[in-house]
Amino acid sequence: MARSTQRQTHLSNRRPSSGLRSLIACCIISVLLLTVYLREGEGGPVHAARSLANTAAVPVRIVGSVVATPFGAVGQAVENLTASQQTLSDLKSENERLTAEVAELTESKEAAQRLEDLVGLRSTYNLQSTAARIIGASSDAWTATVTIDKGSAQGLAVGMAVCNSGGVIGQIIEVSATSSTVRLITDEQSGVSAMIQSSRAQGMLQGQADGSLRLAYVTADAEVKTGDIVITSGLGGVFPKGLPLGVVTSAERLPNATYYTITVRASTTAENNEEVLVITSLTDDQTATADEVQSANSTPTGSSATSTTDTTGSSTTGSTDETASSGGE
Amino acid sequence: MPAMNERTRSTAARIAPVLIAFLLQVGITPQISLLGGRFNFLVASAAALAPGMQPGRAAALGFGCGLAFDLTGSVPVGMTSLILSITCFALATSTQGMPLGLSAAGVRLTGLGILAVELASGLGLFFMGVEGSLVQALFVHGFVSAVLTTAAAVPLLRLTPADTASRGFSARSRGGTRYKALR
Repeated sequence: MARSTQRQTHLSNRRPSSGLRSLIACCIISVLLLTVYLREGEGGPVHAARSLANTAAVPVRIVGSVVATPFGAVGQAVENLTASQQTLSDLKSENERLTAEVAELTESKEAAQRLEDLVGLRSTYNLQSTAARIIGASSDAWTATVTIDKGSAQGLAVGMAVCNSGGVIGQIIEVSATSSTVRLITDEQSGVSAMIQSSRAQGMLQGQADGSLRLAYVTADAEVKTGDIVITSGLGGVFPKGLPLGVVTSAERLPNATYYTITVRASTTAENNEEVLVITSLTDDQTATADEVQSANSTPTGSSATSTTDTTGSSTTGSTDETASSGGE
Repeated sequence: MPAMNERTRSTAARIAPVLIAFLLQVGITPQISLLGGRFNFLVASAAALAPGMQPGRAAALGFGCGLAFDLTGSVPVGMTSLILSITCFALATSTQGMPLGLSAAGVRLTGLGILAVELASGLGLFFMGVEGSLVQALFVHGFVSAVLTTAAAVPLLRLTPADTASRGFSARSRGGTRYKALR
């Protein structure tokens, strides 16, 4: 009997525990961790352990963000459906305010970019110039002009060249005390001495009724192909040599023709409220050399020009050192 | 040897859902928020698996899951592990090691456990100053998270091995038999 009781006592001591010991251990460790976490600084061991765990979890998080993107949209939709009217109206007004702010900032950013480009152009070509802003366009359908906010009071004069960050846009044809009218290169009456950048073939860039540009008086023996860049030649002493004008979009050479028929796409557009540079004077190295003038004069652009290639009906004749169009170079 | 294999299989059957829950917790939970609440896969796995375990082991499981949650989340480290240890212990004790599986009682009990964890977490965070509003902490974040987490726990309840119950009983009954035999 005594042996039986002894055995029973022994067995009851070996009964499986209720797990309280484990629970108490877990609780003590948790409380210790919590205490240390709350009392230690950012560089403490618990914070360091968390930082390590988060670093290790980064790849999983990246995968999760890719996988869960569609679910995010669902969550947003549900949230929107259950949002209160007050929340929705608050969000709507906030959205309107932010949209206006974004538009304003985008405009400022674009203006800053344009100004930066202008400064770049000015320094690249070493231009003696005055900055101005386009404040309006032509009020009729027949002329392609813009108005800028600077005039004679700021030293501007008729004939001065105007360009923006992309290249030449036109030439001043009228000046008042505080504003000037600029004829764009796309105007039918415009003409700028130009040349193909790669082959140095010279000609005259003229505006067309449809707003396109045509490079006239380029001799058929010159080398011209689509994609060639057209730049100012510096002849005439108005536009500095080398400013971009456009890109050749087609170059046709008819049988027995003396000149090419070349269509050019302008490299710039004159948008309202855009900043421009008015070139007030040129240095010696910005004008055409004597050799270039002689080369241009030797080009047969006399009567044969009008009879063979000038499809616009222009009566432009003679040498290209001073173009004949009324606002031209 | 077969007993060893059975034990290994049983352990693997419990570790695999926890590992999957950990991956989901780290990868998916931060991306999904519904009605102010979030899924908590680690709490879901602990609460779903605890009823079929011995109380001590359940407490350890709760501690591990809670600590993993604390370390990868932004709550104070130690808080969830404390709450989850106690909850899992309570769940295991209340079922006496009998897994309830995907039954009404199982879902109810697991849901209650999860709700307790979420509400206690909300309360704890409120008193620690992490949450500014008690109502928001309890009834928005806490309650909604509990519902979502319970939904996440349902597949885990289904995953609970069907023969775990017999294993649980057999483990105890072996001892019982031994006692009887000795008596």
